[in-house]
Amino acid sequence: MGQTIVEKILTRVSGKKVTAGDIIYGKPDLIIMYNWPGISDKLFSIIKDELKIKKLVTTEKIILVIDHMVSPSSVKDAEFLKNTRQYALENGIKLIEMQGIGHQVIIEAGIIRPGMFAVHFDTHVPTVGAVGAFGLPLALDLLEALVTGEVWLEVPHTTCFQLTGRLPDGVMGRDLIHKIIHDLGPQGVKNHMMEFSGPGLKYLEMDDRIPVGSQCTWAGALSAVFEVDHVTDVFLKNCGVSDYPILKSDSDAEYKETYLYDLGKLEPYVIAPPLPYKAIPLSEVEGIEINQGYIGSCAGGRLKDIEIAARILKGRKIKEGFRLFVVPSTKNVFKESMQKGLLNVLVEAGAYISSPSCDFCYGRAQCLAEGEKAVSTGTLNVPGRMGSTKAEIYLASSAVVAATALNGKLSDPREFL
Amino acid sequence: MIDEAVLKRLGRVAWIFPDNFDADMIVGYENITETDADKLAKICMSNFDPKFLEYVKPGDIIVAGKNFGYGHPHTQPLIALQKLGINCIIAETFFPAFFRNSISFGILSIECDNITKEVNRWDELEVDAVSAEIRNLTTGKILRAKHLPKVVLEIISKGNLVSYLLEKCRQVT
Repeated sequence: MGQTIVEKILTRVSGKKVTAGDIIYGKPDLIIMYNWPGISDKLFSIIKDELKIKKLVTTEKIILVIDHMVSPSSVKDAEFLKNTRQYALENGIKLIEMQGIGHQVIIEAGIIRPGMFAVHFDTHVPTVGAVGAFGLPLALDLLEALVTGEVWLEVPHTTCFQLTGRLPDGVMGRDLIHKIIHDLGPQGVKNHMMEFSGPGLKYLEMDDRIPVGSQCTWAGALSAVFEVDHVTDVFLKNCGVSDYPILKSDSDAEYKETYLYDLGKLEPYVIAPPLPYKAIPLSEVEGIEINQGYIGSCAGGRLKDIEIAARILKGRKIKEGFRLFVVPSTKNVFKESMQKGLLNVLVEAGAYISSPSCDFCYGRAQCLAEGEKAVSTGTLNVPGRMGSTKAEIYLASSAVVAATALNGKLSDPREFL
Repeated sequence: MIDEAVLKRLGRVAWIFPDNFDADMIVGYENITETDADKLAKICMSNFDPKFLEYVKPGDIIVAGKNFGYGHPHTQPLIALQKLGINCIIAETFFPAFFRNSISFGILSIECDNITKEVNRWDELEVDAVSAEIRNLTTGKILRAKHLPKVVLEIISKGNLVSYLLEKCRQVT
């Protein structure tokens, strides 16, 4: 019996040939954290005060990212950030700060590469599946990885998504994952791995793959992985990354289910409030008045997102009273957007540009008031996610956000392209 | 070594959650950066039952439908529940990261088909993680749960992930 991509990765990190359903111990190549009260600080204090460990055996594998609370608004916040930095410094841990959103920064920096196994206490670590890595979301049990260098897990089954065709202009990777959530529901992928392959893959840019990984858990997936192909190679080459294994599933690998998606037939899909599985075609909610828009997060804020927003907004003005925040997700994307003149176009149209951070996604920056409505490329739309529990959030592609900014109402971007 | 006595729970069903429930709602999304256990316990479940704190007592059990914990596996709801003495969650299925988190806290979390249909609020349940059997003492019905992996039984048996790792570290040194 052949193996799927995830079985191959877990075979390498567990040191024995594995099959879906096996309970194994796997040694992560990377153990990733960001700064978040109640988890990063808690892990540090357990290690120091309860387990009394002076030096973690995994020190070389740990990446600590400051991408939340990047603009501390109180002394308490500033102290929290200071302690986070200090912990990294005192313990010889690699700290990434002022670079952008961790999940994307580690891809661009070549820290995560195809075939690697990464763990994090964040739900969106499957973002790294875009480059053929396996990101496993953990929680407090990241502690096991930090302390012992390995984690227990059940080798997941795989559900295959065969892609054909090419995305129409104005339809994005974000719409693909929203359509999958719409079709399969919140438990549709049954804790399996989502594996993306097929002839359509060659037309799916990296910036369209990243949101699919970030959002896969809302379809009930454990994680997601894209087959490594020419698109991956070109992207990673531009990032200065080479020398990695090309993992593909064997032709006789076992999939629990296989779904076919024709990218050419997709249309814009949004996630309506109040839950991340309320995926519907944009056409069902077009015209709903919106106060604020956000382009950014680990599920957006890529160069392609900024480019399409600039194409839609070029020579036009954002509807008076509408607030559009464009936050490139990494410093690299910010720089490239600047060099290409895209930020000029957005500012001319009336958008506000901010530095990379996770803070807009969860209401720490540009918090919503009661009764307000937002359209966002963020990761989650539960009540209170971006401020008031009585505000509403529609999750959509950057193209939909830009089109909505022009009309002040949920709008189809294809009308402006 | 697994301590079988620690792998049993006896308590009342304090609440029954629907399918795909985001556990952050247990404390409210506005409180997901709070780290004070007393504060979290005080607001626990207040959005669902303002009198929850009056009724709940140590040993009580949470019951849920499918995909319980769908959302971000923040520690805050677990800190709150545990502070109130809740140390067992029975769900039809769990969202994977929530399950791992809950186990790390030492909360016995076990899957049982149709549990939401088989119990009512305040029914008294006896949960045995080793035999994977749940007895509804109120109705007399015996329900089959899904067996937990050995490593999970070991963690719960030690109390929580920290105690489990403490022992593992000791064995290494």
